[in-house]
Amino acid sequence: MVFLTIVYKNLLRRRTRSLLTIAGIAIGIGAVVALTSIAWGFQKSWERAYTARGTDLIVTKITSQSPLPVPFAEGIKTDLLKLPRVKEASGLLSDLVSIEDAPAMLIFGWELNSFLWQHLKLVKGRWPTNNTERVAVIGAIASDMLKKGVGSPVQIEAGELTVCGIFESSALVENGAVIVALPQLQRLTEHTGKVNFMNLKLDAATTDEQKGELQKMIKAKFSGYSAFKSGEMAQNNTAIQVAKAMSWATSIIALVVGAVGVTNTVLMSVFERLHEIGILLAIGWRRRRIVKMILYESMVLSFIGGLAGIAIGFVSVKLMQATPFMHGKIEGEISLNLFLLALLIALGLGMFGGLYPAYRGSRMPPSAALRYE
Amino acid sequence: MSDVLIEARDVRRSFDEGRVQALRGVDFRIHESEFVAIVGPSGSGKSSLLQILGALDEPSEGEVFFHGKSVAEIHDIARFRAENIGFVFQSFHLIPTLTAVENVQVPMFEMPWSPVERQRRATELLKSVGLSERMHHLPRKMSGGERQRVAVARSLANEPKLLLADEPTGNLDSANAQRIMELLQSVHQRRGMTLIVVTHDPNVANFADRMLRVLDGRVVSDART
Ligand SMILES: Nc1ncnc2c1ncn2[C@@H]1O[C@H](COP(=O)(O)OP(=O)(O)OP(=O)(O)O)[C@@H](O)[C@H]1O
Ligand SMILES: [Mg+2]
Repeated sequence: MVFLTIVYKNLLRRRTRSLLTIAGIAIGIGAVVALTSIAWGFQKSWERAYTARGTDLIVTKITSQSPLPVPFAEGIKTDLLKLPRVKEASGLLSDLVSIEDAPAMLIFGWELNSFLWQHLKLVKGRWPTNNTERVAVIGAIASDMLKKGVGSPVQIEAGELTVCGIFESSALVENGAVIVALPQLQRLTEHTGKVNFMNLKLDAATTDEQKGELQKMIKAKFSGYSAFKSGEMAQNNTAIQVAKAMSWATSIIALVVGAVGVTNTVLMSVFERLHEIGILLAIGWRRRRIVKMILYESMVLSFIGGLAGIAIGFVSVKLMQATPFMHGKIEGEISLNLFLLALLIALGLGMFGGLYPAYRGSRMPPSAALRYE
Repeated sequence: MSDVLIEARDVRRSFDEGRVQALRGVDFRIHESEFVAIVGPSGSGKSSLLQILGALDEPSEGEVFFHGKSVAEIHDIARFRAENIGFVFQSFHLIPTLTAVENVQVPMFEMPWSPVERQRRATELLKSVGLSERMHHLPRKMSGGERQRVAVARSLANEPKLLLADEPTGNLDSANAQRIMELLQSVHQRRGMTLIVVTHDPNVANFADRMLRVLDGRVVSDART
Protein backbone atom coordinates (compact mmCIF):
# COMPACT_ATOMS: atom_id res chain seq x y z
CA MET A 1 0.00 0.00 0.00
CA VAL A 2 1.25 3.47 -0.81
CA PHE A 3 0.49 6.60 1.17
CA LEU A 4 -1.91 7.91 -1.47
CA THR A 5 -4.13 4.85 -0.98
CA ILE A 6 -5.00 6.12 2.48
CA VAL A 7 -5.65 9.57 1.03
CA TYR A 8 -7.96 8.28 -1.73
CA LYS A 9 -9.87 6.03 0.60
CA ASN A 10 -10.43 8.92 2.99
CA LEU A 11 -11.87 10.99 0.15
CA LEU A 12 -14.13 8.13 -0.90
CA ARG A 13 -15.78 7.99 2.53
CA ARG A 14 -18.02 10.86 1.56
CA ARG A 15 -18.27 10.57 -2.17
CA THR A 16 -20.98 13.16 -2.64
CA ARG A 17 -19.20 15.73 -0.56
CA SER A 18 -15.91 15.13 -2.35
CA LEU A 19 -17.62 15.31 -5.73
CA LEU A 20 -19.39 18.56 -4.87
CA THR A 21 -16.11 20.07 -3.77
CA ILE A 22 -14.44 18.93 -6.97
CA ALA A 23 -17.32 20.46 -8.94
CA GLY A 24 -16.87 23.76 -7.08
CA ILE A 25 -13.17 23.86 -7.86
CA ALA A 26 -13.83 22.83 -11.45
CA ILE A 27 -16.21 25.72 -11.97
CA GLY A 28 -13.74 28.17 -10.42
CA ILE A 29 -10.81 26.93 -12.47
CA GLY A 30 -13.06 26.73 -15.55
CA ALA A 31 -13.87 30.42 -15.16
CA VAL A 32 -10.20 31.26 -14.75
CA VAL A 33 -9.23 29.26 -17.82
CA ALA A 34 -11.98 30.68 -20.02
CA LEU A 35 -11.36 34.29 -19.04
CA THR A 36 -7.60 34.05 -19.21
CA SER A 37 -7.79 32.25 -22.51
CA ILE A 38 -9.89 35.06 -23.95
CA ALA A 39 -7.68 37.80 -22.51
CA TRP A 40 -4.51 36.12 -23.78
CA GLY A 41 -6.13 35.47 -27.14
CA PHE A 42 -7.02 39.15 -27.34
CA GLN A 43 -3.42 40.09 -26.71
CA LYS A 44 -2.14 37.50 -29.20
CA SER A 45 -4.46 38.90 -31.82
CA TRP A 46 -3.10 42.42 -31.36
CA GLU A 47 0.45 41.13 -31.41
CA ARG A 48 -0.31 39.43 -34.69
CA ALA A 49 -1.78 42.63 -36.08
CA TYR A 50 1.34 44.62 -35.21
CA THR A 51 3.68 41.93 -36.50
CA ALA A 52 1.76 41.26 -39.70
CA ARG A 53 1.90 44.92 -40.63
CA GLY A 54 5.65 44.52 -40.98
CA THR A 55 6.31 47.18 -38.38
CA ASP A 56 9.60 47.01 -36.49
CA LEU A 57 9.06 49.91 -34.13
CA ILE A 58 5.94 51.87 -33.27
CA VAL A 59 6.24 55.46 -32.08
CA THR A 60 3.37 56.87 -30.00
CA LYS A 61 2.55 59.37 -27.32
CA ILE A 62 1.07 57.20 -24.60
CA THR A 63 -0.70 58.91 -21.72
CA SER A 64 -2.59 57.30 -18.91
CA GLN A 65 -5.67 59.45 -19.49
CA SER A 66 -6.89 58.03 -22.77
CA PRO A 67 -7.33 54.44 -23.94
CA LEU A 68 -5.85 55.22 -27.36
CA PRO A 69 -2.61 57.18 -27.76
CA VAL A 70 -3.23 60.89 -28.30
CA PRO A 71 -2.88 62.22 -31.85
CA PHE A 72 0.24 64.19 -32.69
CA ALA A 73 1.40 66.13 -35.75
CA GLU A 74 2.48 63.86 -38.60
CA GLY A 75 5.38 66.19 -39.33
CA ILE A 76 7.54 64.17 -36.93
CA LYS A 77 7.90 61.69 -39.78
CA THR A 78 10.65 63.73 -41.46
CA ASP A 79 12.72 63.74 -38.28
CA LEU A 80 12.19 60.02 -37.68
CA LEU A 81 13.39 59.21 -41.20
CA LYS A 82 16.68 60.93 -40.39
CA LEU A 83 17.44 58.41 -37.63
CA PRO A 84 19.92 55.63 -38.35
CA ARG A 85 18.55 52.40 -39.84
CA VAL A 86 15.02 53.80 -40.33
CA LYS A 87 14.01 52.93 -43.90
CA GLU A 88 10.33 53.80 -43.97
CA ALA A 89 7.90 55.63 -41.69
CA SER A 90 4.17 55.51 -42.09
CA GLY A 91 1.57 57.44 -40.11
CA LEU A 92 -1.53 55.74 -38.73
CA LEU A 93 -4.58 57.20 -37.08
CA SER A 94 -6.88 54.89 -35.15
CA ASP A 95 -10.05 55.54 -33.25
CA LEU A 96 -13.05 53.84 -31.72
CA VAL A 97 -16.18 55.12 -33.41
CA SER A 98 -19.84 54.23 -33.43
CA ILE A 99 -20.90 53.00 -36.83
CA GLU A 100 -24.66 52.94 -37.17
CA ASP A 101 -25.86 50.16 -34.80
CA ALA A 102 -22.41 49.00 -33.77
CA PRO A 103 -21.39 50.92 -30.64
CA ALA A 104 -17.60 50.77 -30.75
CA MET A 105 -15.76 49.75 -33.86
CA LEU A 106 -12.08 50.14 -34.57
CA ILE A 107 -11.31 52.35 -37.52
CA PHE A 108 -7.84 52.85 -39.01
CA GLY A 109 -6.58 55.57 -41.31
CA TRP A 110 -3.53 54.37 -43.28
CA GLU A 111 -1.31 56.19 -45.76
CA LEU A 112 -2.23 54.82 -49.17
CA ASN A 113 1.28 54.01 -50.34
CA SER A 114 2.44 52.53 -47.02
CA PHE A 115 3.76 49.02 -46.39
CA LEU A 116 0.89 48.39 -43.92
CA TRP A 117 -1.50 47.33 -46.67
CA GLN A 118 0.73 44.54 -47.88
CA HIS A 119 -0.44 41.91 -45.39
CA LEU A 120 -4.15 42.31 -46.11
CA LYS A 121 -5.92 40.07 -48.59
CA LEU A 122 -8.65 41.59 -50.70
CA VAL A 123 -11.61 39.22 -51.01
CA LYS A 124 -14.10 41.50 -52.81
CA GLY A 125 -14.12 44.88 -54.55
CA ARG A 126 -11.02 47.06 -54.71
CA TRP A 127 -8.64 49.08 -52.54
CA PRO A 128 -9.07 52.88 -52.14
CA THR A 129 -7.10 54.55 -54.94
CA ASN A 130 -6.73 58.16 -53.85
CA ASN A 131 -6.95 60.31 -50.78
CA THR A 132 -10.02 62.25 -51.72
CA GLU A 133 -12.56 59.60 -52.67
CA ARG A 134 -14.95 58.86 -49.80
CA VAL A 135 -14.56 55.09 -49.60
CA ALA A 136 -13.67 52.50 -47.00
CA VAL A 137 -12.59 48.87 -46.98
CA ILE A 138 -13.96 46.69 -44.22
CA GLY A 139 -12.77 43.45 -42.65
CA ALA A 140 -14.66 40.22 -43.32
CA ILE A 141 -16.05 40.06 -39.79
CA ALA A 142 -16.95 43.75 -39.78
CA SER A 143 -18.80 43.13 -43.04
CA ASP A 144 -20.77 40.35 -41.32
CA MET A 145 -21.52 42.42 -38.23
CA LEU A 146 -22.53 45.57 -40.08
CA LYS A 147 -24.26 43.61 -42.83
CA LYS A 148 -22.50 45.67 -45.48
CA GLY A 149 -21.22 44.57 -48.84
CA VAL A 150 -19.31 46.29 -51.61
CA GLY A 151 -21.23 49.40 -52.64
CA SER A 152 -23.11 49.81 -49.34
CA PRO A 153 -23.02 53.22 -47.72
CA VAL A 154 -21.68 53.42 -44.14
CA GLN A 155 -22.37 56.21 -41.69
CA ILE A 156 -19.20 56.99 -39.71
CA GLU A 157 -19.62 59.70 -37.12
CA ALA A 158 -20.93 62.66 -39.11
CA GLY A 159 -19.76 61.50 -42.51
CA GLU A 160 -20.92 58.96 -45.03
CA LEU A 161 -18.58 56.67 -47.01
CA THR A 162 -19.11 53.87 -49.48
CA VAL A 163 -17.69 50.39 -48.97
CA CYS A 164 -15.36 49.72 -51.89
CA GLY A 165 -13.80 46.46 -50.76
CA ILE A 166 -13.74 43.66 -48.21
CA PHE A 167 -10.50 42.20 -46.91
CA GLU A 168 -9.18 39.47 -44.66
CA SER A 169 -6.34 39.72 -42.20
CA SER A 170 -4.48 37.16 -40.11
CA ALA A 171 -5.34 39.27 -37.06
CA LEU A 172 -8.82 39.11 -35.59
CA VAL A 173 -8.78 42.78 -34.54
CA GLU A 174 -8.26 43.91 -38.13
CA ASN A 175 -10.92 41.57 -39.47
CA GLY A 176 -13.39 43.39 -37.27
CA ALA A 177 -12.23 46.85 -38.28
CA VAL A 178 -12.78 49.50 -40.95
CA ILE A 179 -9.82 50.95 -42.87
CA VAL A 180 -9.79 54.19 -44.81
CA ALA A 181 -7.17 56.42 -46.35
CA LEU A 182 -5.47 58.50 -43.65
CA PRO A 183 -6.79 61.91 -44.80
CA GLN A 184 -10.35 60.56 -44.76
CA LEU A 185 -10.15 59.57 -41.10
CA GLN A 186 -8.37 62.84 -40.24
CA ARG A 187 -11.33 64.67 -41.78
CA LEU A 188 -14.00 62.50 -40.09
CA THR A 189 -12.49 62.76 -36.62
CA GLU A 190 -11.34 66.36 -37.03
CA HIS A 191 -7.67 65.52 -36.52
CA THR A 192 -6.34 67.17 -39.64
CA GLY A 193 -2.60 66.61 -40.07
CA LYS A 194 -2.46 64.28 -37.10
CA VAL A 195 -1.74 60.61 -36.47
CA ASN A 196 -1.46 58.61 -33.24
CA PHE A 197 1.05 56.01 -34.39
CA MET A 198 4.16 56.17 -36.54
CA ASN A 199 5.11 52.75 -37.90
CA LEU A 200 8.82 52.40 -38.61
CA LYS A 201 10.38 49.87 -40.89
CA LEU A 202 14.10 49.30 -40.22
CA ASP A 203 17.00 47.92 -42.13
CA ALA A 204 16.55 44.15 -42.43
CA ALA A 205 19.96 43.64 -40.80
CA THR A 206 19.00 45.49 -37.60
CA THR A 207 19.73 43.45 -34.47
CA ASP A 208 17.53 43.40 -31.37
CA GLU A 209 20.22 45.31 -29.54
CA GLN A 210 20.27 48.06 -32.17
CA LYS A 211 16.49 48.21 -31.98
CA GLY A 212 16.79 48.77 -28.24
CA GLU A 213 19.30 51.58 -28.77
CA LEU A 214 17.01 53.17 -31.29
CA GLN A 215 14.11 52.99 -28.81
CA LYS A 216 16.21 54.85 -26.23
CA MET A 217 17.32 57.40 -28.79
CA ILE A 218 13.72 58.18 -29.80
CA LYS A 219 12.67 58.55 -26.20
CA ALA A 220 15.52 60.96 -25.55
CA LYS A 221 15.21 63.01 -28.72
CA PHE A 222 11.43 63.45 -28.89
CA SER A 223 10.08 64.34 -25.49
CA GLY A 224 6.74 62.72 -24.67
CA TYR A 225 7.14 60.01 -27.31
CA SER A 226 7.97 56.35 -26.85
CA ALA A 227 8.96 53.62 -29.27
CA PHE A 228 7.82 50.04 -28.82
CA LYS A 229 8.53 46.72 -30.45
CA SER A 230 5.33 45.05 -31.68
CA GLY A 231 5.17 42.64 -28.72
CA GLU A 232 5.58 45.45 -26.19
CA MET A 233 2.93 47.44 -27.97
CA ALA A 234 0.30 44.81 -27.29
CA GLN A 235 1.25 44.78 -23.63
CA ASN A 236 0.84 48.53 -23.44
CA ASN A 237 -2.50 48.52 -25.19
CA THR A 238 -5.03 49.80 -22.67
CA ALA A 239 -7.87 47.67 -24.01
CA ILE A 240 -5.75 44.58 -23.48
CA GLN A 241 -4.78 45.69 -20.01
CA VAL A 242 -8.44 46.23 -19.11
CA ALA A 243 -9.39 42.81 -20.50
CA LYS A 244 -6.60 41.19 -18.51
CA ALA A 245 -7.46 43.02 -15.31
CA MET A 246 -11.09 42.01 -15.62
CA SER A 247 -10.19 38.41 -16.21
CA TRP A 248 -7.93 38.43 -13.17
CA ALA A 249 -10.47 40.11 -10.92
CA THR A 250 -13.15 37.60 -11.84
CA SER A 251 -10.68 34.75 -11.49
CA ILE A 252 -9.69 35.81 -8.01
CA ILE A 253 -13.30 35.82 -6.87
CA ALA A 254 -13.82 32.37 -8.37
CA LEU A 255 -10.67 31.11 -6.66
CA VAL A 256 -11.59 32.51 -3.25
CA VAL A 257 -14.94 30.75 -3.49
CA GLY A 258 -13.14 27.54 -4.48
CA ALA A 259 -10.65 27.82 -1.62
CA VAL A 260 -13.41 28.36 0.93
CA GLY A 261 -15.17 25.26 -0.42
CA VAL A 262 -12.06 23.10 -0.09
CA THR A 263 -11.27 24.39 3.38
CA ASN A 264 -14.81 23.70 4.52
CA THR A 265 -14.86 20.16 3.15
CA VAL A 266 -11.48 19.19 4.49
CA LEU A 267 -12.09 20.80 7.88
CA MET A 268 -15.38 18.91 8.24
CA SER A 269 -13.70 15.64 7.38
CA VAL A 270 -10.92 16.35 9.88
CA PHE A 271 -13.40 17.07 12.67
CA GLU A 272 -15.22 13.83 11.90
CA ARG A 273 -11.96 11.93 12.22
CA LEU A 274 -10.32 13.48 15.29
CA HIS A 275 -10.53 10.19 17.13
CA GLU A 276 -9.01 8.30 14.25
CA ILE A 277 -6.21 10.86 14.01
CA GLY A 278 -5.51 10.20 17.70
CA ILE A 279 -5.23 6.48 16.91
CA LEU A 280 -2.80 7.17 14.07
CA LEU A 281 -0.64 9.21 16.46
CA ALA A 282 -0.86 6.50 19.11
CA ILE A 283 0.29 3.75 16.75
CA GLY A 284 3.34 5.76 15.76
CA TRP A 285 2.53 8.41 13.18
CA ARG A 286 4.25 11.74 13.55
CA ARG A 287 2.22 14.94 13.45
CA ARG A 288 4.01 15.78 10.22
CA ARG A 289 2.47 12.74 8.58
CA ILE A 290 -1.02 13.76 9.72
CA VAL A 291 -0.38 17.19 8.16
CA LYS A 292 0.79 15.51 4.98
CA MET A 293 -2.26 13.26 4.82
CA ILE A 294 -4.70 16.15 5.18
CA LEU A 295 -2.82 18.38 2.72
CA TYR A 296 -2.73 15.55 0.18
CA GLU A 297 -6.46 15.05 0.58
CA SER A 298 -7.18 18.66 -0.22
CA MET A 299 -4.65 18.71 -3.06
CA VAL A 300 -6.06 15.57 -4.66
CA LEU A 301 -9.50 17.20 -4.58
CA SER A 302 -8.19 20.36 -6.18
CA PHE A 303 -6.05 18.49 -8.70
CA ILE A 304 -9.03 16.54 -10.01
CA GLY A 305 -11.15 19.70 -9.86
CA GLY A 306 -8.41 21.54 -11.72
CA LEU A 307 -8.27 19.01 -14.56
CA ALA A 308 -12.06 19.05 -14.89
CA GLY A 309 -12.01 22.85 -14.75
CA ILE A 310 -9.45 23.12 -17.53
CA ALA A 311 -11.64 20.94 -19.72
CA ILE A 312 -14.70 23.03 -18.83
CA GLY A 313 -12.80 26.25 -19.55
CA PHE A 314 -11.48 25.20 -22.96
CA VAL A 315 -14.81 23.74 -24.03
CA SER A 316 -16.71 26.85 -23.00
CA VAL A 317 -14.32 29.10 -24.92
CA LYS A 318 -14.93 26.95 -28.01
CA LEU A 319 -18.69 27.12 -27.44
CA MET A 320 -18.62 30.89 -26.95
CA GLN A 321 -16.62 31.34 -30.13
CA ALA A 322 -19.25 29.35 -31.97
CA THR A 323 -22.25 31.42 -30.85
CA PRO A 324 -23.36 34.03 -33.40
CA PHE A 325 -23.19 36.80 -30.79
CA MET A 326 -19.53 36.17 -29.92
CA HIS A 327 -18.37 34.93 -33.28
CA GLY A 328 -15.33 36.81 -34.48
CA LYS A 329 -15.13 38.91 -31.33
CA ILE A 330 -13.13 36.52 -29.22
CA GLU A 331 -10.36 34.18 -30.06
CA GLY A 332 -9.43 32.00 -27.10
CA GLU A 333 -5.79 31.16 -26.67
CA ILE A 334 -5.50 27.47 -25.77
CA SER A 335 -1.93 26.73 -24.86
CA LEU A 336 0.17 24.39 -22.77
CA ASN A 337 1.20 27.39 -20.67
CA LEU A 338 -2.38 28.14 -19.75
CA PHE A 339 -2.98 24.45 -18.97
CA LEU A 340 0.03 24.38 -16.65
CA LEU A 341 -0.84 27.71 -15.06
CA ALA A 342 -4.38 26.51 -14.30
CA LEU A 343 -3.09 23.26 -12.83
CA LEU A 344 -0.63 25.18 -10.69
CA ILE A 345 -3.37 27.51 -9.47
CA ALA A 346 -5.56 24.50 -8.63
CA LEU A 347 -2.79 22.83 -6.65
CA GLY A 348 -1.99 26.10 -4.88
CA LEU A 349 -5.64 26.41 -4.00
CA GLY A 350 -5.68 22.89 -2.55
CA MET A 351 -2.53 23.58 -0.59
CA PHE A 352 -3.91 26.83 0.77
CA GLY A 353 -7.33 25.34 1.53
CA GLY A 354 -5.77 22.39 3.36
CA LEU A 355 -3.41 24.36 5.60
CA TYR A 356 -5.78 25.24 8.39
CA PRO A 357 -7.53 21.84 8.53
CA ALA A 358 -4.11 20.17 8.57
CA TYR A 359 -2.99 22.39 11.41
CA ARG A 360 -6.15 21.65 13.39
CA GLY A 361 -5.94 17.93 12.77
CA SER A 362 -2.35 17.65 13.87
CA ARG A 363 -2.95 19.52 17.15
CA MET A 364 -4.90 16.57 18.59
CA PRO A 365 -3.22 15.03 21.65
CA PRO A 366 -3.35 11.25 21.16
CA SER A 367 -4.24 10.50 24.77
CA ALA A 368 -7.28 12.77 24.58
CA ALA A 369 -8.37 11.15 21.32
CA LEU A 370 -8.25 7.70 22.88
CA ARG A 371 -10.45 8.63 25.79
CA TYR A 372 -13.47 9.36 23.57
CA GLU A 373 -14.23 5.84 22.55
CA MET B 1 17.80 -11.45 35.55
CA SER B 2 17.73 -9.56 32.26
CA ASP B 3 17.94 -5.77 31.84
CA VAL B 4 15.27 -3.41 33.10
CA LEU B 5 13.20 -2.30 30.10
CA ILE B 6 10.89 0.22 31.68
CA GLU B 7 10.87 1.80 35.09
CA ALA B 8 8.37 4.13 36.78
CA ARG B 9 9.68 6.37 39.55
CA ASP B 10 7.11 8.09 41.73
CA VAL B 11 4.83 8.68 38.73
CA ARG B 12 1.90 10.97 39.45
CA ARG B 13 -0.77 12.21 37.12
CA SER B 14 -3.50 14.66 37.99
CA PHE B 15 -6.25 16.13 35.84
CA ASP B 16 -8.38 19.26 36.01
CA GLU B 17 -5.79 21.35 37.86
CA GLY B 18 -5.20 18.75 40.53
CA ARG B 19 -8.85 18.05 41.37
CA VAL B 20 -8.59 14.52 39.97
CA GLN B 21 -5.56 12.48 41.00
CA ALA B 22 -5.43 9.46 38.71
CA LEU B 23 -1.95 8.32 39.77
CA ARG B 24 -0.58 9.12 43.21
CA GLY B 25 3.02 7.90 43.10
CA VAL B 26 3.68 4.70 41.20
CA ASP B 27 7.03 2.84 41.34
CA PHE B 28 8.01 -0.37 39.57
CA ARG B 29 10.51 -1.94 37.20
CA ILE B 30 9.66 -4.24 34.36
CA HIS B 31 12.40 -6.34 32.80
CA GLU B 32 12.86 -7.33 29.21
CA SER B 33 10.68 -10.25 28.13
CA GLU B 34 8.36 -10.01 31.11
CA PHE B 35 4.61 -10.50 30.75
CA VAL B 36 2.84 -8.29 33.29
CA ALA B 37 -0.86 -7.86 33.99
CA ILE B 38 -2.16 -4.66 35.56
CA VAL B 39 -5.44 -5.19 37.38
CA GLY B 40 -7.66 -3.00 39.53
CA PRO B 41 -11.18 -1.59 39.77
CA SER B 42 -12.62 0.90 37.33
CA GLY B 43 -11.21 4.38 37.76
CA SER B 44 -8.14 3.19 39.66
CA GLY B 45 -5.77 4.68 37.07
CA LYS B 46 -4.80 1.70 34.89
CA SER B 47 -5.34 3.38 31.53
CA SER B 48 -3.65 6.57 32.70
CA LEU B 49 -0.63 4.52 33.70
CA LEU B 50 -0.53 2.63 30.40
CA GLN B 51 -0.67 5.83 28.36
CA ILE B 52 2.25 7.25 30.33
CA LEU B 53 4.23 4.03 29.85
CA GLY B 54 3.50 4.24 26.11
CA ALA B 55 4.66 7.89 25.95
CA LEU B 56 1.21 9.01 24.81
CA ASP B 57 0.91 11.12 27.92
CA GLU B 58 3.36 12.71 30.34
CA PRO B 59 3.39 12.33 34.13
CA SER B 60 2.57 15.46 36.15
CA GLU B 61 5.38 14.43 38.49
CA GLY B 62 7.95 11.64 38.58
CA GLU B 63 9.75 10.01 35.71
CA VAL B 64 9.63 7.03 33.38
CA PHE B 65 12.85 5.41 32.16
CA PHE B 66 13.15 3.29 29.04
CA HIS B 67 16.34 1.27 28.86
CA GLY B 68 17.66 3.51 31.63
CA LYS B 69 16.98 6.71 29.71
CA SER B 70 14.44 9.25 30.92
CA VAL B 71 11.52 9.34 28.47
CA ALA B 72 11.05 13.06 29.21
CA GLU B 73 14.46 13.69 27.68
CA ILE B 74 13.82 11.87 24.43
CA HIS B 75 13.91 14.43 21.68
CA ASP B 76 11.79 12.77 18.99
CA ILE B 77 9.03 11.15 21.00
CA ALA B 78 6.95 10.21 17.92
CA ARG B 79 9.82 8.26 16.51
CA PHE B 80 10.50 6.66 19.85
CA ARG B 81 6.88 5.51 19.95
CA ALA B 82 6.90 4.28 16.35
CA GLU B 83 10.01 2.19 16.85
CA ASN B 84 9.56 0.87 20.39
CA ILE B 85 5.92 0.71 21.42
CA GLY B 86 2.98 -1.30 20.09
CA PHE B 87 -0.58 -0.61 21.23
CA VAL B 88 -3.65 -2.83 21.35
CA PHE B 89 -6.95 -1.24 22.40
CA GLN B 90 -10.19 -2.54 23.81
CA SER B 91 -12.25 -1.39 20.80
CA PHE B 92 -9.67 -2.45 18.19
CA HIS B 93 -9.46 1.02 16.59
CA LEU B 94 -8.76 -0.17 13.08
CA ILE B 95 -9.06 2.36 10.24
CA PRO B 96 -12.51 1.51 8.79
CA THR B 97 -11.64 2.37 5.16
CA LEU B 98 -8.59 0.14 5.01
CA THR B 99 -8.46 -3.64 4.53
CA ALA B 100 -6.79 -5.91 7.10
CA VAL B 101 -3.49 -6.00 5.23
CA GLU B 102 -3.57 -2.22 4.77
CA ASN B 103 -4.35 -1.57 8.42
CA VAL B 104 -1.32 -3.58 9.44
CA GLN B 105 0.85 -1.40 7.18
CA VAL B 106 -0.25 1.93 8.65
CA PRO B 107 2.46 2.17 11.34
CA MET B 108 5.11 1.05 8.83
CA PHE B 109 5.08 4.41 7.05
CA GLU B 110 7.39 5.67 9.76
CA MET B 111 9.96 3.00 8.89
CA PRO B 112 12.39 3.14 5.94
CA TRP B 113 10.64 0.31 4.12
CA SER B 114 9.50 0.14 0.50
CA PRO B 115 5.85 -0.53 -0.36
CA VAL B 116 6.78 -4.07 -1.37
CA GLU B 117 8.56 -4.61 1.92
CA ARG B 118 5.55 -3.24 3.83
CA GLN B 119 3.22 -5.55 1.95
CA ARG B 120 5.43 -8.56 2.60
CA ARG B 121 5.73 -7.86 6.32
CA ALA B 122 1.99 -7.23 6.72
CA THR B 123 1.10 -10.43 4.90
CA GLU B 124 3.45 -12.39 7.11
CA LEU B 125 2.06 -10.82 10.29
CA LEU B 126 -1.51 -11.59 9.31
CA LYS B 127 -0.50 -15.19 8.59
CA SER B 128 1.07 -15.43 12.01
CA VAL B 129 -2.20 -14.36 13.67
CA GLY B 130 -4.13 -16.88 11.57
CA LEU B 131 -5.81 -14.45 9.17
CA SER B 132 -4.35 -15.44 5.78
CA GLU B 133 -7.93 -15.80 4.55
CA ARG B 134 -8.98 -12.32 5.63
CA MET B 135 -6.19 -10.17 4.11
CA HIS B 136 -8.43 -8.01 1.95
CA HIS B 137 -11.45 -7.76 4.20
CA LEU B 138 -12.58 -4.47 5.63
CA PRO B 139 -12.90 -4.30 9.43
CA ARG B 140 -16.71 -4.13 9.29
CA LYS B 141 -16.77 -7.48 7.47
CA MET B 142 -14.84 -9.20 10.27
CA SER B 143 -15.82 -10.53 13.68
CA GLY B 144 -14.60 -8.86 16.87
CA GLY B 145 -12.06 -11.59 17.46
CA GLU B 146 -10.72 -11.24 13.92
CA ARG B 147 -10.51 -7.48 14.22
CA GLN B 148 -8.55 -7.75 17.43
CA ARG B 149 -6.16 -10.18 15.75
CA VAL B 150 -5.62 -7.61 12.98
CA ALA B 151 -4.96 -5.04 15.72
CA VAL B 152 -2.40 -7.35 17.33
CA ALA B 153 -0.70 -7.81 13.95
CA ARG B 154 -0.67 -4.03 13.50
CA SER B 155 0.84 -3.51 16.97
CA LEU B 156 3.71 -5.78 15.91
CA ALA B 157 4.23 -4.00 12.59
CA ASN B 158 7.41 -2.15 13.52
CA GLU B 159 8.80 -4.90 15.74
CA PRO B 160 8.40 -2.95 18.99
CA LYS B 161 10.24 -3.80 22.18
CA LEU B 162 7.19 -3.22 24.33
CA LEU B 163 3.59 -4.20 23.66
CA LEU B 164 0.88 -2.43 25.65
CA ALA B 165 -2.70 -3.71 25.66
CA ASP B 166 -5.59 -1.95 27.39
CA GLU B 167 -8.43 -4.42 28.04
CA PRO B 168 -7.68 -6.30 24.79
CA THR B 169 -10.42 -8.80 25.52
CA GLY B 170 -12.95 -6.32 26.93
CA ASN B 171 -15.18 -6.45 23.83
CA LEU B 172 -14.83 -10.17 23.13
CA ASP B 173 -16.68 -13.29 24.22
CA SER B 174 -14.78 -15.78 26.33
CA ALA B 175 -13.77 -18.04 23.44
CA ASN B 176 -12.34 -15.16 21.45
CA ALA B 177 -10.78 -13.68 24.60
CA GLN B 178 -9.01 -16.98 25.14
CA ARG B 179 -7.72 -16.95 21.56
CA ILE B 180 -6.39 -13.42 21.78
CA MET B 181 -4.61 -14.15 25.04
CA GLU B 182 -3.05 -17.29 23.56
CA LEU B 183 -1.94 -15.20 20.62
CA LEU B 184 -0.38 -12.56 22.87
CA GLN B 185 1.29 -15.24 24.93
CA SER B 186 2.80 -16.87 21.86
CA VAL B 187 4.05 -13.49 20.64
CA HIS B 188 5.62 -12.98 24.05
CA GLN B 189 7.22 -16.40 24.02
CA ARG B 190 8.32 -16.58 20.41
CA ARG B 191 9.62 -13.05 20.06
CA GLY B 192 10.63 -12.54 23.68
CA MET B 193 8.58 -9.39 23.65
CA THR B 194 7.80 -7.47 26.81
CA LEU B 195 4.04 -7.37 27.34
CA ILE B 196 1.92 -5.24 29.64
CA VAL B 197 -1.81 -6.01 29.67
CA VAL B 198 -4.43 -4.04 31.59
CA THR B 199 -7.47 -6.14 32.46
CA HIS B 200 -10.46 -6.69 34.74
CA ASP B 201 -10.59 -10.34 33.93
CA PRO B 202 -8.81 -12.80 36.29
CA ASN B 203 -8.64 -15.40 33.48
CA VAL B 204 -6.71 -12.93 31.39
CA ALA B 205 -4.45 -11.95 34.27
CA ASN B 206 -3.57 -15.62 34.74
CA PHE B 207 -1.74 -15.67 31.44
CA ALA B 208 0.82 -13.22 32.83
CA ASP B 209 3.94 -14.05 34.86
CA ARG B 210 3.43 -11.14 37.17
CA MET B 211 0.48 -9.11 38.40
CA LEU B 212 0.45 -5.47 39.52
CA ARG B 213 -2.69 -4.51 41.44
CA VAL B 214 -3.63 -0.83 41.27
CA LEU B 215 -5.99 0.89 43.68
CA ASP B 216 -6.72 4.61 43.87
CA GLY B 217 -3.71 5.52 41.79
CA ARG B 218 -1.19 3.40 43.70
CA VAL B 219 0.31 -0.04 43.18
CA VAL B 220 -0.94 -2.04 46.16
CA SER B 221 0.49 -5.42 45.30
CA ASP B 222 3.10 -6.86 42.96
CA ALA B 223 3.27 -10.64 42.74
CA ARG B 224 4.35 -13.48 40.49
CA THR B 225 1.42 -15.57 39.43
N1 LIG C 1 -8.39 13.48 30.81
C1 LIG C 1 -8.95 13.31 32.02
N2 LIG C 1 -9.55 14.35 32.62
C2 LIG C 1 -10.07 14.20 33.83
N3 LIG C 1 -10.08 13.08 34.51
C3 LIG C 1 -9.52 11.99 33.98
C4 LIG C 1 -8.92 12.05 32.70
N4 LIG C 1 -8.42 10.82 32.40
C5 LIG C 1 -8.70 10.04 33.47
N5 LIG C 1 -9.36 10.74 34.40
C6 LIG C 1 -9.78 10.23 35.69
O1 LIG C 1 -8.68 9.56 36.29
C7 LIG C 1 -9.11 8.42 36.96
C8 LIG C 1 -8.39 7.21 36.44
O2 LIG C 1 -8.84 6.97 35.11
P1 LIG C 1 -8.36 5.74 34.24
O3 LIG C 1 -9.00 5.87 32.91
O4 LIG C 1 -6.89 5.69 34.28
O5 LIG C 1 -8.98 4.53 35.04
P2 LIG C 1 -9.02 2.97 34.66
O6 LIG C 1 -8.39 2.26 35.77
O7 LIG C 1 -8.44 2.76 33.32
O8 LIG C 1 -10.57 2.68 34.64
P3 LIG C 1 -11.40 1.66 33.72
O9 LIG C 1 -11.14 0.31 34.30
O10 LIG C 1 -12.81 2.06 33.92
O11 LIG C 1 -10.90 1.82 32.34
C9 LIG C 1 -10.61 8.36 36.80
O12 LIG C 1 -11.21 8.93 37.97
C10 LIG C 1 -10.86 9.21 35.60
O13 LIG C 1 -12.13 9.81 35.69
MG1 LIG D 1 -9.17 2.07 31.43
